[in-house]
Amino acid sequence: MTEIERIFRAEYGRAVAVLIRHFGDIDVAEEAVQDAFVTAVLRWPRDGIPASPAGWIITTARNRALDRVRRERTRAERESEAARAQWDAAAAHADDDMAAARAGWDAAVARAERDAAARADGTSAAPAERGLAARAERDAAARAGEKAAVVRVEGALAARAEEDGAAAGAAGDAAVARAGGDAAATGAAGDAAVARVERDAAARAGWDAAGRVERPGAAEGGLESAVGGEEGGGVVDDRLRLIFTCCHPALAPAARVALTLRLLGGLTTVEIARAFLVPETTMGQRLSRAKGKIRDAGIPYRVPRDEELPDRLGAVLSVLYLIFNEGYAAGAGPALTRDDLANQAIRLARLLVALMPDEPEARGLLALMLLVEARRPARTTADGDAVSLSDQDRTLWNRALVTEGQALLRDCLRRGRPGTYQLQATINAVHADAATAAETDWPQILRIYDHLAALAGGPIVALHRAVAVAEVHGPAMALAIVDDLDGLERHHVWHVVRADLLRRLGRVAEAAEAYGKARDLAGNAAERAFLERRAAALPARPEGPPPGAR
Amino acid sequence: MKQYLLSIYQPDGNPPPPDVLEPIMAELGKLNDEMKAAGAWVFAAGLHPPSTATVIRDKDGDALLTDGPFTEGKEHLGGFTIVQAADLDEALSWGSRLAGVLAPLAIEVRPIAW
Repeated sequence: MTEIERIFRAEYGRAVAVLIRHFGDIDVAEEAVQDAFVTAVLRWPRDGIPASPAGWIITTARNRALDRVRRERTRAERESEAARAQWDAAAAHADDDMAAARAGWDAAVARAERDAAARADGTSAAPAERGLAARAERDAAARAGEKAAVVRVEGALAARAEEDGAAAGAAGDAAVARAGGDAAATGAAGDAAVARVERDAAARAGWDAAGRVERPGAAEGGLESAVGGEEGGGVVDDRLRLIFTCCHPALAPAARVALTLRLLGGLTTVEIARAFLVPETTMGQRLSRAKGKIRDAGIPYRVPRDEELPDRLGAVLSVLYLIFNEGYAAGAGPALTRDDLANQAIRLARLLVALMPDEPEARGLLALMLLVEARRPARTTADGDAVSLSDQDRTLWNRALVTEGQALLRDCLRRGRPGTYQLQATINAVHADAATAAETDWPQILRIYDHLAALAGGPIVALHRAVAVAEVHGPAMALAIVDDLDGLERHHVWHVVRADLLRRLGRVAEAAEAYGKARDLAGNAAERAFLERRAAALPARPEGPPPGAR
Repeated sequence: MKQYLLSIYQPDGNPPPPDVLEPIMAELGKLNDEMKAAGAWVFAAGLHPPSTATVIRDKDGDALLTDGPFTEGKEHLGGFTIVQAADLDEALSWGSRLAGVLAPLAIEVRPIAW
């Protein structure tokens, strides 16, 4: 990985988050940040890497985005001119045909009368003046982004009525006499013009939001908070807002994962598609649909209020855990793990812990990830075959990750607000404490599972608890628990646990069948091969439990 | 401020008996008042059953009428509320209140485009 690639991975999310806050639009932000990195790739090798790469990227991206918004404003103004010309043409056409619908006409006359009444200060305003007033009104309406197209149609008709001036009566009679001629065509042209004007107004409203950036104070404040070290103080890091937007519960879980990896992780659509083994077009659609919903449904860009925080933080943690698990045990494909996703998840969890240092569950999740990740070198053989926890060479475990995970865990447990991630991390810490599988403190693990089951019931926790029960109380009691669990028939781990328990109880035929079902449901080739080896290692014919079997 | 349509979906068939329905409608009235007091309420309506609906399609300038609702299903649109809210979270929180009053009916929250 080159230095620029490293900076891209590290700073993309931060830059996008800052730009989204300023411009209120994810696509504008992403495009600008990507542009800035393209510029960096061209310039940095020549000029050297700037002292603050993140600051350089954010400033460059901000200028790009401002350019883009300015360009769009110019275009919108040109379109608005075109819309006006079209409007006048439509009006002229309608005049020629004398085809104004009676209702429209009545409205126009009423409006003209109302206007006249409003100006009943004695001075008879010149028709041209009144025409200008009507147009100004129309423009004001458009600028305010009001959706009352009707008002504008009336305004235009009123303007026409006023331009016609005193002839209104006579022309009106003529129009009414010929009404209905080309009303539909006029309406269609008018609608098109209204749509244009509305888009114009929307573009301007967007510009107004963006315009804030031009105020020097705001821009500098934003850059400071993004680049400077004010995290943890009064200033909320933009990335934290962005995490909560990406993991909003109104988005589909798969979309939350994809958005988080894309916007905060800096992964490309192609990389995410590859990681989740879906076609690139599918992932592209998933991302653009999610971004569209954020924009159109108004999913906010802020850290949730205190009362919403527990639920919303839970959604964020589960997205990170989902990414980690997908990296830990790939749901499909040939390889058992996809390191990159696990590393991404750990990186994002580290970020979350840095941004929310007082949330013990965030810390617990990071500890859990580190303790599980520490076992990666021992989880597969050189040939890529899976090795179960009890058979792993524990000297291969990454001690640095274990130590860090345990320290994090001690720190969050001290806060006395246990949660499911902290408890799962604790279980993994107990495994990490045992130098050999035989030294594992299973009674301690079972106690933690009891606690976990009380906090978050559910069949999956009960299934994992049963594994501990087997170690403490024997496989028969565990099998009774496992067989009692409903709804896990499609879950391959349920079959794996059953198969192992049946094997230990000497029920070989049933064990073989369970291994077979587990293999059919397992997502990746390495795991399937592991289960086939397990099944093949079963004794050839039924017999009692081998001596010393637990 | 954006506006959001909160659609109430209810199962086909007869509504609950009055002794069940009345307290619900009273709660709904209170919620509407609260929305009004908060400046969120734009419009609310309960609808007659789908059997009273008529579908119109234009056929070369003539209106073709069909008896019944546009789609037949197990659930139908029973009513709706339009709220204005700063963002989706605010709209969802009104939607959750509505869902609480009308449980177990589902409430669909959709942003209004124009």
